[in-house]
Amino acid sequence: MRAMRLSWMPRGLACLACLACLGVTAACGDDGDASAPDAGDAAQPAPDSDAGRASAEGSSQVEPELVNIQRKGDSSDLRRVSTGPAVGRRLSREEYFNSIESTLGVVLDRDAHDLPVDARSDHGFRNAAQDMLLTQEHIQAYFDIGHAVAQALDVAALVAAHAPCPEQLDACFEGFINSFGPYLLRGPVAPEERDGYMAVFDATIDSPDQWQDGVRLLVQAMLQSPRFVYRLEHQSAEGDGDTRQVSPYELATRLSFLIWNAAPDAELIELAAASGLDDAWDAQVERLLEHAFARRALEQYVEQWLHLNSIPSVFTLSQDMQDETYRLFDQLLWEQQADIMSVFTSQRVEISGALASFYGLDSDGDAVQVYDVSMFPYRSGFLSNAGVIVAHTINPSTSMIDRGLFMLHDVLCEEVAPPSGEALQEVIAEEMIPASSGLSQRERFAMQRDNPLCAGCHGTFDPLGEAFEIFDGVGRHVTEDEHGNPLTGHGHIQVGDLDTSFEDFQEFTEALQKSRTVERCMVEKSIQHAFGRALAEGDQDLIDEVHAVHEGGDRSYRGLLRAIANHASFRAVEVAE
Amino acid sequence: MMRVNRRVFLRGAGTVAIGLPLAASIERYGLAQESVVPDRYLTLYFGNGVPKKFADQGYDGPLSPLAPHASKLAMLRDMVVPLNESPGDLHWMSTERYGVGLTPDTNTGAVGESLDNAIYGALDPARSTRLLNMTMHGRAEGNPASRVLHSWAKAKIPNASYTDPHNLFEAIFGAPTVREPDDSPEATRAARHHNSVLDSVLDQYRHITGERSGYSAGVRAQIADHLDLVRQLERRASSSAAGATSASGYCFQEPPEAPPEDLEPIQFCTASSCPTEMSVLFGDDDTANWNEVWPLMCELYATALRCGSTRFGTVGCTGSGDRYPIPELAQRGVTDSAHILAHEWTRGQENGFDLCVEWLVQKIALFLSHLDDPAWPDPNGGTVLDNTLMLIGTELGTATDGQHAVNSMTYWLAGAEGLLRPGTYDLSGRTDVDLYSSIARVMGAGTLFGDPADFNEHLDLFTI
Repeated sequence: MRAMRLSWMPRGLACLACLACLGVTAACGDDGDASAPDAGDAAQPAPDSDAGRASAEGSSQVEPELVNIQRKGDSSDLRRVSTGPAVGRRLSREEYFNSIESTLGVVLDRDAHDLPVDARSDHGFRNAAQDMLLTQEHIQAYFDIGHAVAQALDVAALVAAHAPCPEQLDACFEGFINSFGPYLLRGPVAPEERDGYMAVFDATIDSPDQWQDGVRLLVQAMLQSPRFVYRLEHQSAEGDGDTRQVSPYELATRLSFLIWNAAPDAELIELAAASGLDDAWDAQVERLLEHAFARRALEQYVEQWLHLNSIPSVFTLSQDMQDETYRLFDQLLWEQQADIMSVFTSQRVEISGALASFYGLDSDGDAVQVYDVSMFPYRSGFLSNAGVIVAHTINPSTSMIDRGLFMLHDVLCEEVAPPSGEALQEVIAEEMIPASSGLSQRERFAMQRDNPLCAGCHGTFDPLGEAFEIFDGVGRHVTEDEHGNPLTGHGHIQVGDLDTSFEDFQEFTEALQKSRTVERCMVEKSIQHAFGRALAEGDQDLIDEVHAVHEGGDRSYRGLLRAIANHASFRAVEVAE
Repeated sequence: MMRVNRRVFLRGAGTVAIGLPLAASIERYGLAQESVVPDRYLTLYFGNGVPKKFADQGYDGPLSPLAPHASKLAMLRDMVVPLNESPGDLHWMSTERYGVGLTPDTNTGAVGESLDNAIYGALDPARSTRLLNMTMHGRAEGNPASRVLHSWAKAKIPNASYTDPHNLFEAIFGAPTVREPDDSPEATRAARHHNSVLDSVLDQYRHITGERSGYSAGVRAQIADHLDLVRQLERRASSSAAGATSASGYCFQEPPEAPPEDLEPIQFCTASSCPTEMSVLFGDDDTANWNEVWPLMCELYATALRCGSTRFGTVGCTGSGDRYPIPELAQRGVTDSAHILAHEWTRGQENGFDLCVEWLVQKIALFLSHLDDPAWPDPNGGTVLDNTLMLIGTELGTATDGQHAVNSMTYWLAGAEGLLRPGTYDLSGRTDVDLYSSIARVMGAGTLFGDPADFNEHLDLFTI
């Protein structure tokens, strides 16, 4: 059973929790009273909801096409799909810049704009709608970026396909809004929206020769529109707790963000407008998967999943470390389209000369190249990448607890209860064994686990961290600790379907690579990111079904994205009360 | 990225800040009028807690840097933040709850408005002045929303907080350039374009928030929050178009001198480039940050209060997740960060956290000294500190061998224009909500602030 999540605990505190033997109260390992509230729980669709019901009666906005589109699944699928709560998803920083590129082809220097970096949510990603802060900095940044994009546009080329500009000025503007608007706003432009945009022209364009300025202002305004900044999906006023199928525009948007982490391009929008997306579904999925945007989206996904942006920038090798992991995933999952589990054991190391030297390899200059690390069996898979290790280290030592919790939460999708209560503090005071004892971390933690109050949770994640004891705080291999205690990385793990002993890190990663629990977690993480929310008990069928499809296919990352895209939940939206 | 020469900037900023006249602001904001209720309020936050042992020593132990101000302070000891039974990490939970009084749900922001915002709204509904926040912290761990933000407009919506003196200066006094009204055709047209785009954007957000838009109430509320912020941007734009350069009306009369070529320019940190490492003005030189930047920010903020550029706000002095060792303490054998030391502090096994707290309290004392400078008296003869109700506090009490705790909390109150009764108060069992509600009441901003379930009674600290 899944107990209360520990993800609330900031990364840094995890290790300290370990040092203090932060076990849990009697609720540890129990999903009873101590369970943390999960936003996803309260918003599951009613089990007897009607499929396909959809209408925004009374809305003055141009209605999206709410009629049922042809789907690959049975219509009864909608009765048990997972939709999560109906929320507007503000685009994350990456999504916003990506979308400017995918819709307008404008590539900005992202570091030159002060759009804040979104914070990582409890579930590990930075795109959870309900946890995304909105600040005045965002508003100012949207304004400034909109201006920068507008100035970078080739206006003549942009309008050429949309309106008779500049010969007939009014028709030029109105036609441009109606024709171009849906590409940026991801759906038709309502009459009142069009009037609002026309007011921009009316108020600012003094003469026909200023028409290009007017178009720039229009684009600037549209890039700040809620329909660009947010992913909004209509929730019909009808029904109560039902689900409906998303409109073609909404589906195109979902597909594009799933694979590209960006807004749909013109081809997708045009298919949606023509209600032709479903017929072209498979071809469009493949087209998107082949695009460079998809490759970038994988990198952005890996960065968030593995928390690689938390590598302190003061590390000279910070970027080199991140790039090592990106290249591993890119090579295996994109170039080779290998089984997603191969990333756990691959010994393909493509790194800079500086990082090679850091690893103790003979480097041949600074150039990035593939190195043979077969003589170092502990360099096995992405978990042995220095960047991944540093990202889960808070002090110069091995940070076994921090790494163990990362494994438990982000690689095994298991959770433990947080420590709480004054009684626990008393236990901590009695059981804590200081580092000055001269014992190894492994020994001290083992002694602390003698207390059943500590053992419940620490017995779960301590062994996962013990495998990492052979890496110091910056990811270098070590064989003994500061007290001279030998470090081997051996252990025994018992989580999910894993109940195995390992002698070293290589055996540890091989066990992970063969684990169905770990594979299911890889699926779960991808779904979390795709849906932009924490998953709840009601989503277990969704995970299992996608996992089953994934297992029945080539087990590649692309196959996983296809499985998500083809699941009924991908086409369902909650109908608000 | 803004690039400014550090030495020139510091010199220029200090000169102008010190040289600002006061009379106009006094007249503008009516500070000459006697008032029963203090009309300034500040929250000051500092990170990582004060163990009960330190507080029990009064101003003789690690809190001794505050001794010069003791006659104007009420030290409140042994209070409690009712979080112990809440699921979640006490550190970020208590940080988010500070100044808010509501238990947070995730580590992504407070779940309600903060006390400074509420008092601002109650006392200055016309927004004649501004809510001004500044924060100085180091390389923080974790989400800034739960570690360094303490001023909240509403749930999950933080108020802006200035993190470097350059931006703080511009916020108070305007940009450091000659600001002549520009009524050229080009400028007029640009301003018209600017406003037209914002008007259009506002219309779009209003459209989405309408009941007939087809979106759920939750989505419409979400977009309404966004709409509020766009409105603020529009107001600022309108203000700028009207020629105003700052709330106080002051701005540089002369541009700063050109930076000498032999000095390396410094690069200011921005939200996007270092969101969790704000105030790294001097890179990794934490000593320089705290010894040069913090005093300047204190002076700027005090000047803003003296001039009436602000009357309400929050000052952050370190973050709850700061993860840098304090170089000055390294010579005394303290090489870990305040955060780590706070975790590991035990009664019987001192680890240098006392030195760390003493160092931190020095920074707070410096800020108080600026506010208490008799050279800048208010019209009633008191100092800014005398006439500003100020809450000083932190998020933790006495750590127990690695586990944070929110019992035995220590707070201070200052100022309140003679209404506060200074001294030391042992308030066992009294909650943060009792304290916040007492502040709200004396400020005329209601009688309850925070979770009603955690309210016992108002604290008897004021002569009202």
